[in-house]
Amino acid sequence: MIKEILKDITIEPSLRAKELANRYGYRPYMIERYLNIMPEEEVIQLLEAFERRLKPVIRCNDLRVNCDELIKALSKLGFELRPIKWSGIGYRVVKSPKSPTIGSTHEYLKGYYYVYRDAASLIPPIVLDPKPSDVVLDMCAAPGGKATHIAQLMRGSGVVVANDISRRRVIALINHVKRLGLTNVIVTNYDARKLPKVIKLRFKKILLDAPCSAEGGIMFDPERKVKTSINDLAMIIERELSLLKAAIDMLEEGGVVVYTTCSIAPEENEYVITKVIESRDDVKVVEPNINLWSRGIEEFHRLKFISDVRKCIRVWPHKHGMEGFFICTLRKIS
Amino acid sequence: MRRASKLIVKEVTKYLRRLFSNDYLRCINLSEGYLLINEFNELFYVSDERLINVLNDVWVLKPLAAGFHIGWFFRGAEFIPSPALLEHLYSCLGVIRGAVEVSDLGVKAFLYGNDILLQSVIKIYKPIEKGMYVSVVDHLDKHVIGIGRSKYGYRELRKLMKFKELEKTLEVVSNVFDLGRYLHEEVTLRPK
Repeated sequence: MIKEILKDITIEPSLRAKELANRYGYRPYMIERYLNIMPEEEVIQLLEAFERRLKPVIRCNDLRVNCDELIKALSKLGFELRPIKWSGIGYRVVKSPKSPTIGSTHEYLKGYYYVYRDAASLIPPIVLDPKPSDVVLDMCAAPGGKATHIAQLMRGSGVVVANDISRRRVIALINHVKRLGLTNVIVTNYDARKLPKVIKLRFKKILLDAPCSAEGGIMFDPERKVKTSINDLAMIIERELSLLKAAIDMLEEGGVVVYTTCSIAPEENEYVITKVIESRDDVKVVEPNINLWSRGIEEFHRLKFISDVRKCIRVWPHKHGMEGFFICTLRKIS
Repeated sequence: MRRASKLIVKEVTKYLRRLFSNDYLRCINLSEGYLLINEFNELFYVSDERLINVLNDVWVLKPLAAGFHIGWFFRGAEFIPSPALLEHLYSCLGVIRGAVEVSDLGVKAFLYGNDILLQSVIKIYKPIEKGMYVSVVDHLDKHVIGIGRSKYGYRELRKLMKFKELEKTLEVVSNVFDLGRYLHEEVTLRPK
């Protein structure tokens, strides 16, 4: 499987890609890929966007606090917050005092909000659109930003099964659930790929925030510019494929899975969606309930993806001023 | 996670009765749901039917947490309530019991892991006995910011508060668990 993936994704860097990779400190294959997706001027804009650190974002926990009052209290401490309109409960921290940090105020400890490094993480739960009566699975949930957002959107009703393979990160997840005062969450620590064989329960809604190369978050972790070799990428893709297949196996008929990564690599996104759709006839890509950003790309290098990937969401750092993200909704059909 | 033993249920009930007599049953009825304990000695209460059904369906995964975190129980020790449990009961019953309300200075110090000094205590709420777990309440919004162990009974505390100026730095409640511990997010949060 990995050999096949490697054959598909291997890309030979051009001289220009090598020059840019050298200038910005990237692996050349990554730049060649960007040059294949967009014009060079735009590639430069993307690389420059990755050099700028983004301001953090908070999600007001309106189950515990009135958001206007929270913003007033944080303003008194010296924070300046700007509402992220499409999210309803998200605010960008545009100015911070020297002390305290946004993640250490008394309001934070009391569970009045959750802190993200960027706003893009707010999109997948909104696209999943959970209702208070739903039973939702978050397959790779730690440290819990999206799982607690889902539980909050369900107004403390219904059930969220928040699973993660990492023992250490699951503890962080439990602490966030407790801090935010959520009581509709069950936390499990299991390899999500094995879940369909172990549990019989089938879900109406599943969030799969797949462990990825995190190539969309280079602004937070510049080491990502060189961390992932093409072989590593193939292994990550294989894991993403098996996770997505497991997710579909656990859906009830008519149910949806929102597949998301914090990577801008088409190999981890449109490629994964295409491979899965081509391998089975019980699932299709559907339009999301919201897309204020870009659409998925239909081709790249020598790869041609299914046309339905146009229905997926792409968040670009240079276009949208956010971390790079990919979000795609798949529905199980009979 | 496993079902809590009868002994644990008895200890939790004993604590709640001590604070609220049988009034607590209006807000939480342990016999109507499951009381669960995980490997970190954290106690969770699950009463919602839907949650119980899903929990049964995923029980094979050995869940680590589910429902409402109500406190901790260590073998051979007493039940330690969680801030969330006491806050829920105060809000549900409309009354604060077994608590010390503290000033801004006290809130800040307590959230840094320090004990409560006499000078920070603004108000005390019955019942308080020496060695009892009490909640520490922020005077501004009445939010429970942690759990402490009282070093004095209610009467003694009342007397001490009259002579606050003389015994300013006297430690009256030791820090057992404070919300500041949530800053260490990947650590199992045990009471001290």
